[in-house]
Amino acid sequence: MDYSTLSKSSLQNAAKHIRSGGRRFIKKQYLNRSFFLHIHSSRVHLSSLRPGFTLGLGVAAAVLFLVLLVTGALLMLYYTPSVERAYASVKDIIFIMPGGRTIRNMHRWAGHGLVLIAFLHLARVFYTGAYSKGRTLNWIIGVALLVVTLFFSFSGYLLPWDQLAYWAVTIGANIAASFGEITDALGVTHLVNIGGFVKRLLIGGESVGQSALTRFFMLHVLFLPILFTLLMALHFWRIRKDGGLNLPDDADKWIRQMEVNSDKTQSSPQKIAAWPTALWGELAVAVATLALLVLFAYLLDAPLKEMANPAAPENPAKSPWYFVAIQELVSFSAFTGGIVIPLGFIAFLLSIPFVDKKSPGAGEWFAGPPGRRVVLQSLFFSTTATICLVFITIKLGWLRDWLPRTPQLLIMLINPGTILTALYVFWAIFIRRRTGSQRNAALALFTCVMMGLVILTVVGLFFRGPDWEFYWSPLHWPKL
Amino acid sequence: MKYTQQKLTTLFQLVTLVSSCVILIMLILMLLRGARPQWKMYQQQYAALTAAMDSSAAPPEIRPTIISTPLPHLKRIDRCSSCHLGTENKKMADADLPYRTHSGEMLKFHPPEKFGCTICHGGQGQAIDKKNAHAVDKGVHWLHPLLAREYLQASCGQCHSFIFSHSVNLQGMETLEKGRQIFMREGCLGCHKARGLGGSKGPDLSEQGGKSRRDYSFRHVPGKRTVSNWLHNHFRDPDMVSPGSQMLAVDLADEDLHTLVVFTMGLNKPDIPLDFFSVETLNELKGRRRTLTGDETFAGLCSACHGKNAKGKSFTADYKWGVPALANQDFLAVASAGFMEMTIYNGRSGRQMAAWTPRFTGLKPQEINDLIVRLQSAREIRSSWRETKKLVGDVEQGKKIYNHHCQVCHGENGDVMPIITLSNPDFLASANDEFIYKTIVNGRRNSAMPAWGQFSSQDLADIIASIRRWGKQSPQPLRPLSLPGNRKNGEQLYHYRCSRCHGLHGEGVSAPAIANADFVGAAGDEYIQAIVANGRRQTAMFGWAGDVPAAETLQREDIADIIAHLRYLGARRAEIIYPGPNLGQAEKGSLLFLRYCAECHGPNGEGIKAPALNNQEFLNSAGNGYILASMSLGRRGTAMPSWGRGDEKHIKLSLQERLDITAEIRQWQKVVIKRPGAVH
Repeated sequence: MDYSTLSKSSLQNAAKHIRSGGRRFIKKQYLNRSFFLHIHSSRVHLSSLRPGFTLGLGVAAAVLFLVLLVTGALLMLYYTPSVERAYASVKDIIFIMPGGRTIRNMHRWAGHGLVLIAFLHLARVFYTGAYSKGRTLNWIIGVALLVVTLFFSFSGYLLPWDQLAYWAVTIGANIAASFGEITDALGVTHLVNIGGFVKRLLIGGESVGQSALTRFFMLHVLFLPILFTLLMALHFWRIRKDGGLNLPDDADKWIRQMEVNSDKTQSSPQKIAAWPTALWGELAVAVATLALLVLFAYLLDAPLKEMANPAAPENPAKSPWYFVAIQELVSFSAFTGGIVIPLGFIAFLLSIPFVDKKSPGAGEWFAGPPGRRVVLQSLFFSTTATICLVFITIKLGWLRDWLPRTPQLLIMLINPGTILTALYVFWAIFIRRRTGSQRNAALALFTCVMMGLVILTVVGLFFRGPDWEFYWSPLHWPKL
Repeated sequence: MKYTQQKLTTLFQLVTLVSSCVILIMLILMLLRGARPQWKMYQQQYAALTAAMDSSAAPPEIRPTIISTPLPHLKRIDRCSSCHLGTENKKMADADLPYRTHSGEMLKFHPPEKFGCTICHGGQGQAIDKKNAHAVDKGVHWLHPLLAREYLQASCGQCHSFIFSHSVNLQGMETLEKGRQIFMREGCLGCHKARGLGGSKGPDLSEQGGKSRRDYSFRHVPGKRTVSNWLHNHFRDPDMVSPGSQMLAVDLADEDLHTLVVFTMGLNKPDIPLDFFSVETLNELKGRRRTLTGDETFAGLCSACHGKNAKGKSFTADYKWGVPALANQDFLAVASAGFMEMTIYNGRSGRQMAAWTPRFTGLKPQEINDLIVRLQSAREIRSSWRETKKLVGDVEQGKKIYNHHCQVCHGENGDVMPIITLSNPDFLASANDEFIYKTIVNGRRNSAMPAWGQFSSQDLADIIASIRRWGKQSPQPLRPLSLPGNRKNGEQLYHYRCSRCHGLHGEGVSAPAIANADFVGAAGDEYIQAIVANGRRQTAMFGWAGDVPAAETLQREDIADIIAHLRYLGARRAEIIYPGPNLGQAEKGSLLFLRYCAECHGPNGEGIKAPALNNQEFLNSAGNGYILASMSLGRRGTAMPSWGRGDEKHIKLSLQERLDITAEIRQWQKVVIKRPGAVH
């Protein structure tokens, strides 16, 4: 290299070049501008770019899905979906495959992260009222994506074929068989064994084995990715079709108050060119997500316990964390906890845009301060009610403990799960009466349910020991 | 909170920049972590080491690579030699781990390319870093961590454990073999089954060694969470480690206990191809094993409860754990082989004694027979007929012995009914001294006459002399019989003439049991002929060849035929243990039982601090004679007093009272259990 030409000015030039690197990166269309602008409208409302408004959750979820696709494809190179080989092949991924441990860690944490972010995204969309004003379809697609995400993650849970996977999936399969409780109680199981059918459909037998592994593998690497991709594409397309992210009613006024754009020549001063500001925003979220993921993958190894042994049940056997709340409900009553309440919750989610048609205050968190108050009150109410009921069940037991001959149908009807649901609904009706707002009632119910789920998950995840008994800490567990 | 396009863009760019830096740093860290793995370092050092040892040779080319040994038959891949590089290099004998040569000759017989490492050493063969490969640390989830050196021989047991075969001395598994001997010595099989033999009180141990630390509860175990530590503590104090366990503590010195732990860890049937097993192990796994001797059977199966010296355990301290002393001479004096056989085959319901049915316990009938012989051989016999017949008895001395022992049933003057009256002139006239000697020393099986082995030849001469003071043998001249007689004819004659009193099978109804191997063995043909022909005065036995009115006389040939049938009956194996004559009255006996026996045996004979008498297996094993004799003489070394003699604490019961109690005990028998039909 000719060092003589190196002068101060050339160094400055170089610095300038580096600084303008990003710009050149875009200008030279390494990242295709038209690709970006096909997904986004050319102009975006400044309000949509508020980090505190979207929290970047949608982009983060999409990025995690992409990471899952890539790492999953790499893992597939080494993984063998057979009962005999699966565990050993995962061990080989960890020990032998170059970078295998990290790739597996990333896949694992991205999978968990996707479920978590999907829930958070759901909450964000709900609380900012983004399901209204023609966004009904996208809301429904979103709910479908959430369900697919849960199954996606659940199907991947079994693949390492270790004790953790085996017994978590066994629990999951038994939750799927919860329908059996009502047919048992009615004494018609021998005629219509719906629970058994669902379970066999899911795991291909009475217990988790090779057929379950085959089914879960195919679901995980073929059907669910395709389904997810299709739904995701629809989801994105609908955003553009619906006119971008939803805006506050007074977006323009709000923007004016913020004294942003002094460029009066623009027809709508609050709208700016999507390129490159929106791109930078999305890039920032994407890279931040990746950074967090890589950090996790470096510091925390994905769990891999002993090889699955159908003869040695784990006690307590816990389902994956996102189903633990359902497991907790199932411990009260399988049918109501495992079928009625989860389906009811999904039905509630799907019905929101139809019930709350006007949705005043959309585009703003909790539709403004009154909504925020409702949400806070609901949080308080739900926390109190849920903890009280959990306390009663743990401390005093339930109907069966008081009246040992209580019929199962009655327990199905009256158990902590149904009572909690009823309390939440009454609370929502109460809020509706008090504030006269459909939106507030929806806020109240949604908040109650989400908080209830969180509390039940925490109880199930951290405070349940062997035989699903309550313990303050694993240190107090009776060692088996 | 003011957003402008500029501000937002800057914020986004800043986040992107920082995040990119984080990713970059993490990627570098990951590369650093992956670039110098442990095994690569070890391989370089090993190369340097070999080069330093042999300076003349050119330094070998270093091409670090993971060395994998696939072992499809053993369902594993071992990568241990990626770090343990010098195992087969003789020059590395003094090198540090992991380069050191494998000690001993083991690899010669177990080539690593066939066996790998982890099948013996444990650990995770797939792993390529020390922490995961050794799998000893807490965070590593692997069922079989690296075995410590002192427990390594347990691994030999996977293929070479033969419990029952005579020790095949294989070099390098001395600890395992020692443990095997202790296992077979301590009576473990009394409760645990292994390779098809043993009791069912405790868990089957056949695959105990395959259990991992996950299969054990460490709640009450101090110290490390290893299988060996669990076993150590468990053997020392089973109830502490597994609350509620009925297992008996193993009382062994530390080094012996260690070998037992190693053996238990080695007792396994791993899921590997059959050609890995030794021939002896394969045979045992298939259920073919050597027949154990009586001594081995007792040590292996009985000694944990009955004691190594068959001393038993006291009932008075804790009834639940009381175990009869099988070496007790008083027990051996009254217990017949049939009694023992019935007890071994049927056990005692409600008690610790299991039914050792061959089908369920794997014990062979031959072994049970040998065991009974072994048990009975503990009976001491201090005299011989050869000596006794030469000695001259002292009547006074004999009277002393007679009055202490025999008088209890036979009465002071040998005339107590319904026992054999010794002073009966007909008895004395027909019985010779040898018959008396044999009857005393061997007793009479399943009757009340115990075997008196403790008397010396002189004592016996004295006793015989004291009996003879009532009269001498004076055989009436009988014309000799033409033997052997016709048994078929004898059977008919017996049926019509004798069975009314002596029982259909000679078991004794109102008259003594005569189809008895001991009786038939001791009694000569003349003796029987004399009784049958001449009868016995003062008893219901009249002389069949004499001139009894209304009785059909028997001809000499008939008597020969009956003798033939008697000998047949005596040698025959009866279907059940016949209780024998029952001469007492249960109604009276019931009161007596409540008064004298209930304190220990319980008001209903259920056993409080003494064996349960109201036990169908006991009642089917013990004849009335066993009960009467045990009651009359007591059992020394236990709380059972002699009710025939009485002592300072216990009243003396008359013979009739004892017979009444016997009748009371007998009427508890509700079922009849047949004797095992197997070999005899």
